[in-house]
Amino acid sequence: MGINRRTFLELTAASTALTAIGTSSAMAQDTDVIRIGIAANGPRHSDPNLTTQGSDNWATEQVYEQLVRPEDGRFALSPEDWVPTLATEWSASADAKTWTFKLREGVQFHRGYGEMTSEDVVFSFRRAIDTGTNRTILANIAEVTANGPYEVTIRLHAPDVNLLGTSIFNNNTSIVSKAAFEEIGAEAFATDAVGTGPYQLVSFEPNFGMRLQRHEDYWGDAAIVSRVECVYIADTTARTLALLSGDVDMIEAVRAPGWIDSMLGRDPTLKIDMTVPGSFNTLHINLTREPFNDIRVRQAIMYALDREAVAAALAPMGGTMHGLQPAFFPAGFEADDLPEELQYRHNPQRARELLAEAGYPNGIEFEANCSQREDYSSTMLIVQEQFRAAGINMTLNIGDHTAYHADNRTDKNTLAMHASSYPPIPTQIYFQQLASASQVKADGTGGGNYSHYGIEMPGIDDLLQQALEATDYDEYIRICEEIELQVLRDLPLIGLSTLSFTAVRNANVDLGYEVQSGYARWRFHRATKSA
Amino acid sequence: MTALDHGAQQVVAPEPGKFEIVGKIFAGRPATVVAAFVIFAFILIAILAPVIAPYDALAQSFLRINHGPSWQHWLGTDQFGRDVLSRMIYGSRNSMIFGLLAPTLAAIVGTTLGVIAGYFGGIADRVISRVVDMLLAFPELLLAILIAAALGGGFWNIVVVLTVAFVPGFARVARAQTLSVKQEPYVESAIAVGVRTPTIIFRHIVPNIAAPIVVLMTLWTASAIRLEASLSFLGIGTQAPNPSWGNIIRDGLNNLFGSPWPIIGAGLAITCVVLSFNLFGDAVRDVLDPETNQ
Repeated sequence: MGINRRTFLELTAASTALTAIGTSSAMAQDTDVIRIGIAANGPRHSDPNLTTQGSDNWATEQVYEQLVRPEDGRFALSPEDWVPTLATEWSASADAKTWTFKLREGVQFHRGYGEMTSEDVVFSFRRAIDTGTNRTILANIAEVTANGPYEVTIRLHAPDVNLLGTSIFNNNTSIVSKAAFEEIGAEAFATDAVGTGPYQLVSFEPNFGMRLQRHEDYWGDAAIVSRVECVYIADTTARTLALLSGDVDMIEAVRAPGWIDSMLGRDPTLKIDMTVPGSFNTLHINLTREPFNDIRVRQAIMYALDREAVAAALAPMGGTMHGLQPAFFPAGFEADDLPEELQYRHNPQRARELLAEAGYPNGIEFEANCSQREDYSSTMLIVQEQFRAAGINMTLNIGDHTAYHADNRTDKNTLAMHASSYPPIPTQIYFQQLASASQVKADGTGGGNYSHYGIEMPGIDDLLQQALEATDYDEYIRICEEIELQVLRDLPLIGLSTLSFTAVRNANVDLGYEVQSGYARWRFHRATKSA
Repeated sequence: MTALDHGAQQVVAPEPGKFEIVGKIFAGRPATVVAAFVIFAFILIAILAPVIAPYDALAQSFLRINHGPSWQHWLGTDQFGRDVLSRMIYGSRNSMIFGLLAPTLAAIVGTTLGVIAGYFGGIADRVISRVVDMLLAFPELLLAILIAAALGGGFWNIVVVLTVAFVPGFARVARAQTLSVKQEPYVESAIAVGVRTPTIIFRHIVPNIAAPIVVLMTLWTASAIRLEASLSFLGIGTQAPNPSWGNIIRDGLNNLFGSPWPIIGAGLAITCVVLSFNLFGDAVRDVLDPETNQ
């Protein structure tokens, strides 16, 4: 076998990268451990109530559980899809304001902290409502009370037909041990939380990641592989090489054009797991900036965009949204089901005409910030090129990911891309990205409505309120569809594309189930690994 | 007055002609000739980029992502389906412009400061020298990153960054040379007969300290190209989608398995140009620098 220049170059890069991350190839042979390479510099928290770095949830997903969960690898698309987890039964009052959960008996906490009871559940919810990272959504919970050791009642301020999706299956409301919290103390608990999941936390190492071990007293079927290691490798090339060399069994993918193909070209046996739809990539048009306050300019932007091409460029991870939901989600539309004028089929010529009508016969120029993370930068570079063909010249300032979000949060962007994952509960995106209550503020105290919709022009606040107060699910969906149409008419926010959360694993690891949808992490308790 | 003129002629060696200098630079140095040819070729490529680039450097096509080299695309395509060769050709413009502009501006600013410090001395010298010392304490790349992080990207910001990074070196050399030239009898004579200060500086000082400044400029052209590539690689130089050799390598690194050609191409280009400027600079130094010109 000869060695050609390409192989030589790659081997050189490989050995450099491996030296840099300090792993040894002897790691891979152990069949009783699953190692996942995570796309971040290091873990920040293991407490599910505090995680703000999405990648940390690969560990929390294994260690903590909620009262109910969807099937592994899926979202619950309708109320029947929920699976009893730490609760065995539940019921809601007719006005959807009082929910009662019967708890599973005999659930043991990790490390000998005893049986889970209603006291722990009340404690966990209280903690999430008061000090968690998702207090806005949980603010609707008025009261959580214990009725004996194995039953809790949750009372809401306003009805919520989607309570299981919005507040129960939620990272923050994972059930943790009250006794452990009191013993360990709040500060240490942030990286050493005690839960009930199939794996327990063994060590939290800021320079390495998190090591987990099987929870032997798990209430369900015990995990098959005894250890899980979450290894943090932010550099995309190093992470890729760690997978190809077998140092890790699985990695978070690089979500850039052509990446999957190049990986499969390298090793056709690799398995690709991805959630559909994954993240919702939206474009906020800042209505306070000239010329975007003109609806014709926003329409021009919409016609300049080729949303199918954006999705195709990121194939097989990319997907389209014709409104703000993928077609197979509640309140989602197929293009053909929309009124003709709201389909906005790609038409650069029409875009130029609209710009001319708006007084810009020579097109427009503006600057926008963009994150350097590969999913953001590649999507926006594609958008930039599509705009150019329609006379819209966008200068991109590509910068650090954290700084990008900080700038967006302080109203410094004109056309802000935002990637966020949502369950099939349409009102969540409306609430976070369109409600006037979530308007961005220059001092950073505002929310994720970067367009100022509902302030600069009448928004969807009334419709959203009706949807949130609906006690009937079909009525809820009907109102959501109305919101979708109004947003397509007003265009403060564009559903650009969806992008699957993707992980690539070596063929000797079998997850034990198929990943279809869900959040950007999946459980390993049913996984097996062969030599 | 005639006596004085006669005396001055005895002190100053006859000036070699321009062609003589150029001849000396190339004579008996085949490597320098090749280097000069490479530099000339790249300058030509940069100037003629729109004419010789086979494709629009920014045009994407998702039907041809990560293609290998072919007759249509000599260096293949990148992850956006853009032609790598065209991007490199347009990227040479950035490298050349920054490589030539930044040392020139730095030479003007640095020499001015150095001459002021060296000629006038006193408080001006103390202030300028301390500031220069402070800047010299930072390696050029670190200084450039510091300023780039504060100013952000953009063409003129990069020019400012590179210029500021190079000014201290020029200032220090200009000051030292000025101090020594200032002691020469012809300068002292000029002062004695009452020639105005600006005339002394421009007629007697600057021409006589020009040689080491020119040497420094040639050598630092290579550094400027390297520095611009480093900044673009780090994401604070030339901003996407505009190509520069540095950001072509940066994008290529993230897409190493898709196509290694952007890295190979841009890496070779940087190596060739930097090496050529260094060889050429060395030759110029050998001829112009009195220390080595024996």
